[in-house]
Amino acid sequence: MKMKSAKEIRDIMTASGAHSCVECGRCVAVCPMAEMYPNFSIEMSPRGVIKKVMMGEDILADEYIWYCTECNAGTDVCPAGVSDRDLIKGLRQLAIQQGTVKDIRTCTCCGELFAALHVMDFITERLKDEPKGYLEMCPACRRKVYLLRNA
Amino acid sequence: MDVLMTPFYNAKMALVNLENSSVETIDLPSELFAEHTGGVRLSTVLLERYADNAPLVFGTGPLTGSFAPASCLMTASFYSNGNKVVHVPFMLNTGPQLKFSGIDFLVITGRSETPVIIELIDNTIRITPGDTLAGDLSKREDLLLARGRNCPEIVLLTGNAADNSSAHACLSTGLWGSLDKASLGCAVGQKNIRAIALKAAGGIRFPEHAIEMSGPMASALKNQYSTPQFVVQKSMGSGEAASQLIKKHFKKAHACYHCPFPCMSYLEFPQAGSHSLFKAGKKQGVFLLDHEGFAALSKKRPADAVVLLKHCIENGIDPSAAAAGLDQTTPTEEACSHIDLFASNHSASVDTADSSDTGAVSLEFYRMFGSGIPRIVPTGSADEYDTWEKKTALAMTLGICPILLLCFAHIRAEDLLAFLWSDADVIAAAKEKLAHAVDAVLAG
Amino acid sequence: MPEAAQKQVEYIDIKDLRPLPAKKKLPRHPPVIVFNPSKCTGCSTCEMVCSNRNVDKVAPASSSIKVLRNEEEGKNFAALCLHCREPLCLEACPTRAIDKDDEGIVRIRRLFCVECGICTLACPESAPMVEPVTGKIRKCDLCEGDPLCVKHCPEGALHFYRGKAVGWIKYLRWPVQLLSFLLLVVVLVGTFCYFTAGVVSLPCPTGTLQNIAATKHIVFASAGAALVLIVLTILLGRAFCGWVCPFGFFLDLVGSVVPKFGLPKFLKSRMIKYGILGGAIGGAAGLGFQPFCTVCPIGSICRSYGVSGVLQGAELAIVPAIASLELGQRRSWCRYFCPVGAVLALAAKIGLIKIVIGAKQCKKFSCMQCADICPMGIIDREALREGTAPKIPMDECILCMRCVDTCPYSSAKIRFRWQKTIPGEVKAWTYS
Repeated sequence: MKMKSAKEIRDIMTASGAHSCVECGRCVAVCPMAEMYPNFSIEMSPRGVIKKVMMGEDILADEYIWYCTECNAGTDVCPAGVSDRDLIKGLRQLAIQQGTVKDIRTCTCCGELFAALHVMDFITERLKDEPKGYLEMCPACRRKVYLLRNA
Repeated sequence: MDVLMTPFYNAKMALVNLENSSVETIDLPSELFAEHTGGVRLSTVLLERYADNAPLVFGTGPLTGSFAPASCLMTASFYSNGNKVVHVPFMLNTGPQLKFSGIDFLVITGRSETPVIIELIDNTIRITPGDTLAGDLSKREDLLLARGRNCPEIVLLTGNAADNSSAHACLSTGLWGSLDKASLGCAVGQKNIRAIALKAAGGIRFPEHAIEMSGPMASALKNQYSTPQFVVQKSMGSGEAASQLIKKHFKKAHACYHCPFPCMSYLEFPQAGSHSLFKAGKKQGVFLLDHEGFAALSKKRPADAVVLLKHCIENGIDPSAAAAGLDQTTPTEEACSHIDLFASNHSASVDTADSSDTGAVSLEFYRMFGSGIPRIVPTGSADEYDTWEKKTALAMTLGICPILLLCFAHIRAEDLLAFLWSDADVIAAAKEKLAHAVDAVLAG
Repeated sequence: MPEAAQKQVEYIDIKDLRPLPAKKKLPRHPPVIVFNPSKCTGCSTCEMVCSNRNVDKVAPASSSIKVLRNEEEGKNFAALCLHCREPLCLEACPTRAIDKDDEGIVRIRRLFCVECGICTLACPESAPMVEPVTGKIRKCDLCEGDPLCVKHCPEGALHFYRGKAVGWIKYLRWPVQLLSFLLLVVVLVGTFCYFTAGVVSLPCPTGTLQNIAATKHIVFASAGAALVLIVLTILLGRAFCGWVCPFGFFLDLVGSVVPKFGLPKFLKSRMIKYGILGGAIGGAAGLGFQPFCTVCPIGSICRSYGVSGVLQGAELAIVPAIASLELGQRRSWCRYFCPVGAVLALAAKIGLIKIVIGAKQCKKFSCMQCADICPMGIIDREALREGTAPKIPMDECILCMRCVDTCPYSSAKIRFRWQKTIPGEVKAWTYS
């Protein structure tokens, strides 16, 4: 299992250009996760994730790949052209395929994974006491349900 | 003066070869557009180019997606039986969704071994397995739409009839039905394509002056349009029965992309066996896109034509053909099973165009454009496009819905071209090129 | 880094760099686009013109308004930003890129937006649209006051509207409340309260019940008179509480000036008032006198005026003591404790009329003015967030009609109970 996923991880790294990372830290500087999580550390950032993979650590079981919002701000500033969104998306999909992650939030309507668990927790916390029924649905399904209730 | 249509196009076509599951994007030179304008004329040229591999060309016109009214058209061109070219129109927002995906013409050649879905989602073309798509059209559509973020905007679907290679299978736009009475559905089914899913991520720049024009033109058209029965009343083949049924079951009007004339009605009817003495029954409904098909059903069976229309659409079979085989007196359930049987019978063949009086509309051209476009004689035409076939060819070349041009015959070609250019000389030159293209289309 | 310098570095975060705007007065008539689904034909013209403004191209994927179609039910809908009074996207944005200006328009400031998409996930309608492929967020900004979609919709399904509330119901209610206060407290002292039922009596139903339990026999004249109020409640709901009750008027006055601190959870049960009612009647049966009537605040007010009133210092203290509940929540006495209200609630449960909110033009989660202003707190915010119409429990509604008065979109209405609960197609849609 480990061997198999090593190749696939390498493919993801190649596809997203992560091998070109020069560890400059620009992605860490612009990352919005710094505003979202009190435990923000370099480990969550694209630079940290790439480092972990390069060091051969078991990235698929790592919880730190589930904090990213996929905003692509890191990609916008990266001097080496690494696509952070592709990297994180690829790793997440692989983790789901390999079954190394237990707790993922999927849409109650269509079953798609639409946001990482920690991102949804952040939103829930920010919205304080407001109830969260609609938060369990992906944006497309939310709009469809809103149509059914209001059209 | 060289009139360039390319600003209103992506100047790209996609070639999907189902034999080896390959997808290629090919640039189209601007000379091609300068000479052939676009729409079904250019589709014919592409058909000839790929003629040796059973080609199917989905095309758009220069006005598709623009601010001209009803700029919704996508056309499907293929070689029907007897090697004649047939063009079938597709409405709703199929044309813009194809064009805004970065592809003006989608050419599909060859045949696939296994059922496939051709996906054009977020500007990427993919061939994905389609064997899970089976059963009623609503089931198939639910499977295609249950994809969250990548949910397609519009889908073209084949039904059971196409799976069984019935000659009367049609390629339906979602659950709206289709104007396909020329066995396009059968051709698509034979290629083993179960669905085509579209979701555009891009766009085309259209001139700003057109925005100001589209409002007044829409208001002018709206003043003439009065009732949902407008199309069936104007069409020769339709009649009182269809008109009465629309009046009775009408729930809501729907329009295609940028069309001020909502000719597609949503007809509501009670679900069989769902009402009791104390409460109203559950309602369901069906869209009326295929006016001719509905007219054929209402003539035969005015009592339950709406129910049967829905049943035909769910099976993916042409309602006009199904109507031909129905009896006046059998109960609804039996009629429905008759339709099911008809859909599963690949050898049953009915000539629907012959059975109605086409009169002022030439049978040959009626068949050329799919035998489904309402036969409305464009009285009051203000230019040389004054017959049914000329107006329809004009519409299919420009990328405008033919029903709009047939109903509002006073709209001239230059009025439509004014949505692309503001210079009168340029419009005049374009009009000439257009005339050549239309003649070439009608020549076959 | 040297130790001393390290100690001086303070942790600065987003709250310091871009603080949330101070709670400012919300605009009374904020601009908003109101959508009428029964007119929409799904032609997507709004998407075309909106995307043309956003990206200079006709590109429906880049528009800030999205047309949705439901083919099974033949319905169309346009999802767009409703510029909420209290925007959820503003709360959730991690970089504080969203703000609401004085006019009421909610905007995303491009300079600070990192396109994380959290605003889309926080919005109940997912109104900030995520452009596919690029991931850019496009949210409606009302075209700076002149929305294009409204101008170009061929069916007139979109209207740019500032809302006009009914507004005059309170001018009807205040005089009635004042008049009834004067009548019941000053002119006809003690009329309402059974304790000193005079010649003219409109006795309190709770007092009547306690009296029957205590004395074990019914004086038909008084019981009949008490029934008058019950019958009126069956017809009109708890309008007594909202329009007539002098203590209610007093609470309204107090409640409009004191700040609110909330109540502890164990006090916030609507069943407590039934318990107090039961206890009062049971106590009356056991003890032989009317226990609740001695401490009733309504009675205290009714009996307090002038020479014929039973004025005792201790009793007078009851009124401010109970009125201090207003520091918890509006009308908390009426919601949770009043046994008179409990009897009327039982009658109103089988009432003839109802308040309906949530018609098609209701702005649901983006407005919620009715939920904010309802003194009884019976408008379910969760239902509005989810885009459904909340059911108003008429046994709790005091028919003050503040909701009908405040709603800028004519979505709160009063109806007979048998009329269709959620108003269906809105045929006559007029604005003034």
